[in-house]
Amino acid sequence: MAPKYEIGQRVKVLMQVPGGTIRTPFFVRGKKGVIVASHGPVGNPRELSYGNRNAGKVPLYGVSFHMAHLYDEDPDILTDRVVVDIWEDWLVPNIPERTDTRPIDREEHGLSYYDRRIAALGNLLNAKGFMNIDESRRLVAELDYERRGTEHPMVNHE
Amino acid sequence: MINDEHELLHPHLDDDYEETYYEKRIIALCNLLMDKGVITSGELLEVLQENQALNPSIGAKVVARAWNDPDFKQRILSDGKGALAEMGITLKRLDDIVTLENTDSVHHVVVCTLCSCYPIPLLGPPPEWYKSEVYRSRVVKEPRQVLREFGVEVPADVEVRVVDSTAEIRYLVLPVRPSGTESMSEEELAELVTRDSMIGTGLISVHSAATAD
Repeated sequence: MAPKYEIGQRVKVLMQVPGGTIRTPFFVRGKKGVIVASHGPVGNPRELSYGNRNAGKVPLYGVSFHMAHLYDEDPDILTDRVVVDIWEDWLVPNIPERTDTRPIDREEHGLSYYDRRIAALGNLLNAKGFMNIDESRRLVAELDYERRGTEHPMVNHE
Repeated sequence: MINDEHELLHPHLDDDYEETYYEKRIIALCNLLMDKGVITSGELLEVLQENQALNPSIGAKVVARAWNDPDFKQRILSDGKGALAEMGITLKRLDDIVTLENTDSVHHVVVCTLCSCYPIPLLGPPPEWYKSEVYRSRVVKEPRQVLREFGVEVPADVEVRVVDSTAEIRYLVLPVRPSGTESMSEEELAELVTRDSMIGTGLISVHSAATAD
């Protein structure tokens, strides 16, 4: 299994709570870091803990976290870091967040095109009796809940 | 220290010493396995001596060589396993020992927040404080304060990099070579290197040789 990430790449550690022996400490779960070392494929401790010796190896990386990003309190010194070895199956790419916090002008960017299509579709389906506004609102709320929920998926404990 | 088979089977203890519950269990288990022929006292002695032989003087020799031989330093920084094999040091089931070089701009300190992973082939078994929950939880959160308690003051313009051994890779800190040691031999340099300096919780001074244990 070839390593998916390169040194210098930004990653995020999954916030998950699987069973078995795992080697990803809680204090970095859900946190963002940078790959600083690539150790190559190493046996996956979770599979090994179940006695599964043929599970294959998973690339292991040294991931560096700014202390300032790990804890709620502001550290005295902003340069300090923690480097933790993490298996690839715990990492997802971290796409940098938009630093510009002004709301996007949807009209200017042409995005209102889709807003209008959705509004038109909703009105039409409502008018034809295929759905009603309350049902639509409930579905939107459910989707919103699921979207927020994907940050912390519950993993089945076999 | 257990040096021979006689000491193994007949320990030198005070007459009034009473073994603890676990010590009694260990003796019973060893005796049972020997009586049943699963292990011999010779084998047990061999393993004990192997374990006793591992201590920080091995790591100190590695550090001294890295200070003394720039080519070796490059090799140990890029391929720990290979460079240690040159010195006759084998890692057994460990994947690798990675060397972290302390410089004027970065100070490394090693921890295992999950348990007690430690570069045993180079330093022997870890000290009690390294395994304590206090050290493991605090050093990743307030490393400068923890280092201060060890007597290590890291200047504000030097980055502290805490390295957490979460996998089958162990870490050795290559401390900064103290000034005033330019004319020393590799053997003399090794005498200066302390255990804590190879974990990152100690610094080396030319005077530390006198107090090194």
